[in-house]
Amino acid sequence: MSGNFLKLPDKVFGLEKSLLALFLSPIVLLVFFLISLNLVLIPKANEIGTVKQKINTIKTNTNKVSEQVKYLSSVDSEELQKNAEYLDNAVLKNKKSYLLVEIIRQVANKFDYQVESFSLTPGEIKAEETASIKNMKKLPVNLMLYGPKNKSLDLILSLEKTLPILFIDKYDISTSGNYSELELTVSSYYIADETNIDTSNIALSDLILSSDELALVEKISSFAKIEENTGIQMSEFQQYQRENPFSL
Amino acid sequence: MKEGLNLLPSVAKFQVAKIKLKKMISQAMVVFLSFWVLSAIIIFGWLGINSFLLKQAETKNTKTLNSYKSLVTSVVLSKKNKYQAKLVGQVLKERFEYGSLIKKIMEFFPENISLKNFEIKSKKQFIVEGVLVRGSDINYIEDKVRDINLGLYSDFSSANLTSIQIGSNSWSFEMEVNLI
Repeated sequence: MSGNFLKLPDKVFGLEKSLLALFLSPIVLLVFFLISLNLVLIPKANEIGTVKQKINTIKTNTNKVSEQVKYLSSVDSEELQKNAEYLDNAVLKNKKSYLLVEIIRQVANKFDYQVESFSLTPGEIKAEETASIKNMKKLPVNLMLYGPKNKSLDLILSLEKTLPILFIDKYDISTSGNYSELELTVSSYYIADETNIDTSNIALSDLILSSDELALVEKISSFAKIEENTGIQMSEFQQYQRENPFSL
Repeated sequence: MKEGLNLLPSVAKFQVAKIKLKKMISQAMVVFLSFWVLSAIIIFGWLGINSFLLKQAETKNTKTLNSYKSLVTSVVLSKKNKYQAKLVGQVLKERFEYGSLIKKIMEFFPENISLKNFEIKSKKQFIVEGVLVRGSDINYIEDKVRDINLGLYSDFSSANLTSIQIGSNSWSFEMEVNLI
């Protein structure tokens, strides 16, 4: 090899050709090392970092999910369903004021009060400005109730302990003998159902009710639930064969 | 090497130095190569171990996710409950329960003072209209107003008698009560 070494002269830059040949292998090795370092070793070393990061992410995610699984397995599904029912009933399910009148009428009837008149002001049905939550609307109704004087307070207390949660915005009572005339403005909230519940990125705190929220459920569970009877009954359309009295 | 052998002393010295250098280079190359091989073994080995750990973590994660998916109904219900509890909490927080306060105000007045009108004038303000037969009972009303203004009642901040009227057989009064 040294004889035919690139057909170089015996001396290059004053150095013997055979001496230069000695450094050829280390140089080739160095070049190989540098190339392999850049193309193999460093990328693979970086890959280790990425893989480690992936492992940590997956482990964190697994721990998060298994905590949720552990919690959900320990939760009594019946209680969960019961809480859901109470919370569902705490607000109006339909954005219809006459349903609110029907609820108040049902409560009033328990205390021998009659709904004398009521008025709905559709213009007042508006998104609650104070609430930052979308799809939250307050539905007010004005009512005139007539009934026994001694039961007026019970009626108010009962209205305040009714589901859906009712707000007494206006209360004016006039008594005459044993009877009272109540002028009330009662409102309730309609909250649109949250239909798109993303189950992919949920934290454990999104599933557990806080102590305040549990106290709230406990509180509303003591309220009387009034069924929202829509009063819409389906019946089959019947066509009658009648003669037109104006026809000649 | 034998081909270029020169037995001149100076040349021999040079040859010896060259042989030594070659030996040194060879040793350095062996060390260098060993280092490279060792580095490669460590890096690839560590990568292999980590890839194995990643696979294991992924398997565990898949299993956990499958268990989670089987509980999806409870997940949805719990999330919905949390969401609704938050909203209902806001609704209840906003509500002022007048019933218990109306009861307290009604309990203020003895039976000989009958309440004629009761009105929630604005948020946290009541107007109470009452009728009494004996004029001396108005002292009772005035005492109550004074007690409220002295802060003896925790729920009320202030009160004042806005009007007193004397009829033929009865007295009527109007009282404004402000809540805390």
